[in-house]
Amino acid sequence: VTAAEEFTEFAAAAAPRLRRTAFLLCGDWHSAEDLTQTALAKVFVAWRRINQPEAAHAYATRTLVHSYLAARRLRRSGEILAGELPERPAEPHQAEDRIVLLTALAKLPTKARAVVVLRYWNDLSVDQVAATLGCSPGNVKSQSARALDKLRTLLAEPDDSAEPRPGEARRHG
Amino acid sequence: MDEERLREMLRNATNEEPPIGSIALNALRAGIRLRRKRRIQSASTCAAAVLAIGIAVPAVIGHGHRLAGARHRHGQTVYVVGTTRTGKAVTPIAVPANQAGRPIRIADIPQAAVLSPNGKTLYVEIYQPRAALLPISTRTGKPGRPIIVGGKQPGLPWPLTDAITPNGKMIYLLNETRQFVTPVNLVTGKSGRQIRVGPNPQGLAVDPNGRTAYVLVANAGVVLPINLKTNKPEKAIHVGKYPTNIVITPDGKTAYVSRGREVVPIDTATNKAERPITVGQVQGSVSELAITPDGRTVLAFFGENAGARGQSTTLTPISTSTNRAGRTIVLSNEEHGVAFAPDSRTAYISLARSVVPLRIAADRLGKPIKIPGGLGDFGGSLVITANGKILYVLAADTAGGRHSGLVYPVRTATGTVGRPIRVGGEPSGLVIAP
Repeated sequence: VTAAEEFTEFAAAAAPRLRRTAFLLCGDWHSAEDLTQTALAKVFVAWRRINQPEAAHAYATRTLVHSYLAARRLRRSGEILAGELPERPAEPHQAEDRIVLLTALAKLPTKARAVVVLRYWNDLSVDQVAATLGCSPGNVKSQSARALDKLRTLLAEPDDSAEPRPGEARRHG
Repeated sequence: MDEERLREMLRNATNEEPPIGSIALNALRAGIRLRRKRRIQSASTCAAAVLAIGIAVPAVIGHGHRLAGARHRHGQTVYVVGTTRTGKAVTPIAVPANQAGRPIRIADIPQAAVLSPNGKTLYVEIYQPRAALLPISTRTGKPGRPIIVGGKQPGLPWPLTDAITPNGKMIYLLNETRQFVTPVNLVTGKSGRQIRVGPNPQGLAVDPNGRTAYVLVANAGVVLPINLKTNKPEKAIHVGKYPTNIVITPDGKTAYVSRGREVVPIDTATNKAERPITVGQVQGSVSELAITPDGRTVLAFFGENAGARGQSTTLTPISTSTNRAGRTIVLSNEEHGVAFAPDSRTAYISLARSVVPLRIAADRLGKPIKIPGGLGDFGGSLVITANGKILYVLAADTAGGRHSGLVYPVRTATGTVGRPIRVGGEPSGLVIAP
């Protein structure tokens, strides 16, 4: 098996999850695909230096997050800053939840958003998130606590007791 | 909101994703481009160093830049770096016999190679079992003892670019992930103290006088000069964010740094950035810089939509005497490599299916030299002999390609493509040594 074949096999297996992580980080599927491709391209450059498949997965996630952070730092990225996410076509399932969540995530600082995605979507431990982001575990904990606090406020529904959550409503009825 | 609820929302948010495209293959292609770019950068820094001290080394490194002052000798050798049909090896090809010799077996797949300024040693980058530089004698073809450079963590990703000093005693390795430069003494094989340079370093070039190394710190938007006597950084030169490529003139007086659509000249005597030269069209960025052996012209290759999917589609010559951009030339395809004729009159540029000569004085492209079957994803590496008569072109496809691992000799006078030399495998670059 050649290095190119080996890598293509890895990339095909890792791409869907990486793309979902990227989607939660940047909020749209097109940018997520670009981010995933950029991250995987960097993994290919380092391919021969990576010993085990687990290391490749961890390296790919780390590269993805760093590429995202670098892109966010790039002021001339052409992104139009807006208070709210632009309107999107209506989707039949869980659309409200998704839009509410993406709007809330977009209001978090860049690094806090990365912490939330790595902690609660990738299910990484505090130490693993710290290693991925290159910061201290204490920093991850504080970022995580602040982000959760903010999300609580942003995602709080006006009348939590009277109306079931949109996801639940659909599931039950 | 509790953590479980957040987890559930995150899961739900990604539930209805659009169908995934051919990310794996696109990433592979983008990765190959990235790798190629790093090798070109590495090659040009070394070439510039040798040029400055005027050593007559007929050598071209990686995707290479022909070195000035070289004299023709028979018995040159082209080294094919990467896997070959026999596995992990560097394969020598005798010039002008054009016959592949016995492969030099090594412990790992060679990533890249740098030739010492005196042409006696080829340093090959390997990463297994430890990140190391493996010295190979160009006289005997025997590998020496590996110089370990990877620190305490073997096997960890160690993306590096390197530059060798003109006296061949030191090599400076840039670790992009860890943000530092490591000086390595090639004589003793020992690493010096690491020098922290800042976030996202993207390139490194050693001044031809061997006094200063210039590091591009992309996120800080600076070029950081490092005094090689003291190994300490000096005052940073602001060039604007995301500088990506650097070349230095053979006399060491000016460095050219690309960022976005601009090429910024730096006066190395004062370490001050001069007025930027704008090249290219509205969108994209400079994907590569190359300098002629006589130092009179810098070629700026410009990629539309540059980045991981970057495609070089134009090139702009810049006169180093006036710092003005010449006529922009449109290329039919992405540039894979460039080599210069010894007299600096012609640059040979490899594209996807052909090698095209550029008459530098006239800013005009010559008739393309078609390479049978094309150059492939891994191909495009070019080296030229000391007398400029033969160009060697690497054609190497990814898996499933028709022409995997072939080296084509091309007569530069007539543009005639000779019989291919088969090495097989996945070769990734060529080096020519005396």
